[in-house]
Amino acid sequence: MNVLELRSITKTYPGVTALDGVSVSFASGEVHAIVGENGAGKSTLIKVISGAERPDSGEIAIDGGSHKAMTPLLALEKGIAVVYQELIQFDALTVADNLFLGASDRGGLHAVDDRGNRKRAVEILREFNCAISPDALMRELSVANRQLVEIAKAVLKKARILIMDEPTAAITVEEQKCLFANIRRLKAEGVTILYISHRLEELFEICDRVTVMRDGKYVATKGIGEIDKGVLIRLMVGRELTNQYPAKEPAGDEVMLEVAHLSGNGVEDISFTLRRGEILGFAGLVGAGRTELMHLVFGAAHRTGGTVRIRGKELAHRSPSDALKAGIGLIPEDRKWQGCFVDKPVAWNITVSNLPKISRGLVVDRKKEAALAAKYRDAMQIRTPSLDQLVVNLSGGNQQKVVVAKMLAVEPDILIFDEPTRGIDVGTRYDIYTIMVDLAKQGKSILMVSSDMEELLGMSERIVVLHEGKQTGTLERAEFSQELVMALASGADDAAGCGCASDGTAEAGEGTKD
Amino acid sequence: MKKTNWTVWVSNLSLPILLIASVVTFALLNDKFLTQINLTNILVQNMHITVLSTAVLILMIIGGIDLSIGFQISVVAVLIARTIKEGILPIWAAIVLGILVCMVLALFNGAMSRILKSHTMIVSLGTMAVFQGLSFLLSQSKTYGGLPKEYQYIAQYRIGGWLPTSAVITLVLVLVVGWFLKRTYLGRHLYAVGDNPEAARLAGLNVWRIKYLAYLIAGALVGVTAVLLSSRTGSADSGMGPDLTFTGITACVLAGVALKGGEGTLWKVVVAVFVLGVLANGMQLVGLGTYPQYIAKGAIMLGSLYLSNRSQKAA
Amino acid sequence: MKRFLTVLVAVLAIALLASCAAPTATPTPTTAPQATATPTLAPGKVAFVMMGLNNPFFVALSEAFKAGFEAQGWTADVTSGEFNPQTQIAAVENYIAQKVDVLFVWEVVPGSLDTVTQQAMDAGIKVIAFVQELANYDAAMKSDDAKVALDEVYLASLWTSTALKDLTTINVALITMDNTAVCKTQADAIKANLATIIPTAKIVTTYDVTAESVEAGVTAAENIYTTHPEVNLILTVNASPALGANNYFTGVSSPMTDFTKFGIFTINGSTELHEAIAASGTDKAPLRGTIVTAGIEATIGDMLKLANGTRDGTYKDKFTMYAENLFINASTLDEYKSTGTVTSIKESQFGK
Repeated sequence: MNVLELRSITKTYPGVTALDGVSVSFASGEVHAIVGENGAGKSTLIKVISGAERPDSGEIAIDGGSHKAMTPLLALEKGIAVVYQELIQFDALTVADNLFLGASDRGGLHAVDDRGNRKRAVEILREFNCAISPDALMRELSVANRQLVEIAKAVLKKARILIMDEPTAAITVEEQKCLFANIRRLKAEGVTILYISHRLEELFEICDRVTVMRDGKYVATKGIGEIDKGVLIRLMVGRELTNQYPAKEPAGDEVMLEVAHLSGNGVEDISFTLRRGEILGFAGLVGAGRTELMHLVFGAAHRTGGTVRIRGKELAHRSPSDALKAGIGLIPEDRKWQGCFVDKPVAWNITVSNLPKISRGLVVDRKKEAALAAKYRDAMQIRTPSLDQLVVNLSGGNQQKVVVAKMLAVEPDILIFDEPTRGIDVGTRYDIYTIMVDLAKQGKSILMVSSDMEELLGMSERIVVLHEGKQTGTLERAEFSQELVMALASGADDAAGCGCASDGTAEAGEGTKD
Repeated sequence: MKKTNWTVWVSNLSLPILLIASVVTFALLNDKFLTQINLTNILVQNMHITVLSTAVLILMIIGGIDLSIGFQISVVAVLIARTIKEGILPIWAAIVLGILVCMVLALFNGAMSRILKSHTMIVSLGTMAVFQGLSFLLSQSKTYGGLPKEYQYIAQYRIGGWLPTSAVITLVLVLVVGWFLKRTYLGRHLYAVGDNPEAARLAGLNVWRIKYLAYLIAGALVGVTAVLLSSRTGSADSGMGPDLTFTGITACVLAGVALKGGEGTLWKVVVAVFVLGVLANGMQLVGLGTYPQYIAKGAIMLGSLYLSNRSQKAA
Repeated sequence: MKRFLTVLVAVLAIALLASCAAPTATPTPTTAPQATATPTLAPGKVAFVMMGLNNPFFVALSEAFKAGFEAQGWTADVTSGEFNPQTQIAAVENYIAQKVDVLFVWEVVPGSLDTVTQQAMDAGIKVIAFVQELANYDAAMKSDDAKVALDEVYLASLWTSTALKDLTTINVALITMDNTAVCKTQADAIKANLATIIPTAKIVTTYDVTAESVEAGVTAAENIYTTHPEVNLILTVNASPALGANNYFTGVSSPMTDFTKFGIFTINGSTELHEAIAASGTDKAPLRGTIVTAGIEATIGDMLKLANGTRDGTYKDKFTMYAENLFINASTLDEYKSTGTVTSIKESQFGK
């Protein structure tokens, strides 16, 4: 019997169709996995079910009733609870307080029944078979125990549908066993569990059925016994390349950048080389440590081991300014917070990294400043009414071009593009690709981090794949396939050319964004 | 589009309009207000505040607020006065020493906020207490009065019989700081670091070196404030600085300097100082008491916040 | 939540215990004079419940108190009230238990010690209210704010009656600081009594400063002189603005060079005023005089007088002793500096 059924759910954000006519149903007392690549629409699906987002069309059937949209209140009434990856809890309060906040079954004003609450907290925590004291402060608990508290809270709210978003992302093997035991217990009590995970192998251990999503669309729902990991990966990535990418000249032979055994900032023992005029892609799932690795190369994070050589010359740079001087530039992942000064004019942004060069003594030469800004505005084809326009008023794509222009103005030999096209409309994407290919043609070398599989395969000459901070493979163009990249990125131990097993442990505190 | 321009224009010029309006009002209410002697009074009463507000502006541009500047003033004023009174150093050397000490105190604030990884305002609450103790230790709770005429000349001398030296010194400093902030690349770096420190770091700016520079400049300006103030009063004591902290911050907030950093225009700060100064002087002249002054000051602050928020929405 | 409350209660309980324990912990030796306490009134046990001991003045006062009384053979003890009424109540209770003879009390919160001091009086302890009045007491020691201001006007009248005797009107500017209760009391006293003491005086302007700073005085003087250049006399209620006004008129940008018909008088202040007051003798500075209350030594002397007087019945039923005011001007400055007191000008020579 189905407890919850989504029918033709569509949800669009400006420029993106996050869910495209998705229909899926969930049976009572099953553990149902939802898998897909970054951006497949899993998060949006959860939000629609929990009432955090309102779908544009479609309907949600629950308890025989049909709804246009859920609301947080309705979700609560129907017993839907979400254990988010980033737990929203009150760190300074006790476990018991956290359990009962907002879980009151009485209305109106009333005193907090501390004694009764504590007793119930002891009982419920005992059911979970874990050693958490109801008097412990939330911030004293491990991530896994916080998760259990959150699940216990859902049980207290009499949740019948429990959604778990990446529950194993930051916990140890032992903790995972405890978690799974509790999931099985809840399942036996008839609770339906929606299980979202990037770790494919654990699905076979805990799930009954799995639904695959891709590009906001429903692909298939399979009983876990009918498939193996290979089938799952094919279902996840199985699409044709549709975008066109500008033709790129092959890279030169000269090695520009040589990274050996680089560690720190959550990544471990990474080695690769970058040749003149090459675009080297970096693949991995959210939290794999790609951005962290780029910050390490750029000197923006503390290095604990390994070497970085530019044209054979070792760099002991400790700061971005050293890296820039040595000829490495970074176009950061988060434009608004890391890439540009949104409250400042376009010209100001383009020249900010390069001011001493266009100054006579201390004084900025305004003619040189205007000329430099104009030069890169034209080179990047930044569409802005004037160079005095504030960056905040530009479109996302043009903001990204400003960020690229800022770095290019310093004339580095090596450029790091971290998610160069995230949140950018299709037309401007092509502009960015063209810029990158042109830069490579001019002899610049490029490191590109991307969560867009097509973009990675279409633009890169080689791809380094990371999984949980470790390098799981380096692919030459001839070996490129979505399945292989996906397998390596998921840490699958049966992936071709990859001997490293996923041990199920991950560094805590990593990979907490989605 | 036109309406937007109009709103921006109004909020940009709201302070000068306010200043002119209050001058006209007080001139109509009291015939002594527009006399040369009173205008000179307004000038000399606000010179040290102008210099101090310039320091506050620089600190706010890099995204900080320093509550300890008042006691920095006390420490430096007492130090200079005592050094001169006890004949330890000649006047010029005492002044140089005082300003250098103030730069060190400011740098100490900056270093503390870096080491403790806390917001400068919170750090300065602590250093404020330290500087308070320091100034009372130095002054032994005494007032050092009767500073020599040569020292008093620094702020009180009237060039050609009418132009106060304090005004000349302040004008020069304001012009230099204005030039520094607007024309030099270091000034540009201050705004970048305050606007978005992470973006500045990733853009290759040495964020802390730039912040330390700002602290040093602000420290020097606070030191000059201490000199101007003690020269004006002919005395120095530990209680002379603290009241000014709030006045300086008030002027900057009135001038629309963003608390989050990265923004702030010097000429507006100077005009704001004079709005507050004219208000204090004029209300006293027309015989309104202190409490109506408080209310007027508060009302003007709230009004200017309204205007600046409107322009932000419009932008 | 519950845990927090438990901890809070525990902390409070410990604090309470500690504060109770503190006075009892200090051993009070049973000395000979106490044992022979007879109607001949040998020195007995005296105690002082202070507001707190957090500033140099309080510490100096408490030390002088102990030294002064012990020199006369008393057993003296001081407890800091820690600015907390509970601490003060506990201290008084302890002194009742210890059967002190005389108890000085400087109450933190008005009214908070009324009950417990009544208990002390019922137990036969002589209670002397210090600065702050109680509901009932044997004697009190206060400084009369209004009288200090009055004495300032008297001191000014000494000067105006000679230097300004030719003027038909003496133009007076008042620099007040009404945001402080004591200063406001004093300013009101000046306004109410000026015309009686100096009949030719006329208040032409009142300037209210918000902070007791020298700079505020400079600004006040600038503004006063702008609107009222005819001013002859500036009266202030605190020393820093007076010094600021003086410094403005003696400074290098001063609009005034001749101070023969111009004077400034004030209240309190210390050594920083001496230079100006000395110079005013030859009309080189306008700051001509100030009223200061007697120093700590004189205060202790008064306290001894009250302690003895309440025991032998000389002082009873809310007898109030006011601290003595000293008149400092160019002629008495040297006397004050060398002896710490002034006898050549006395309060008694003024008024009716």
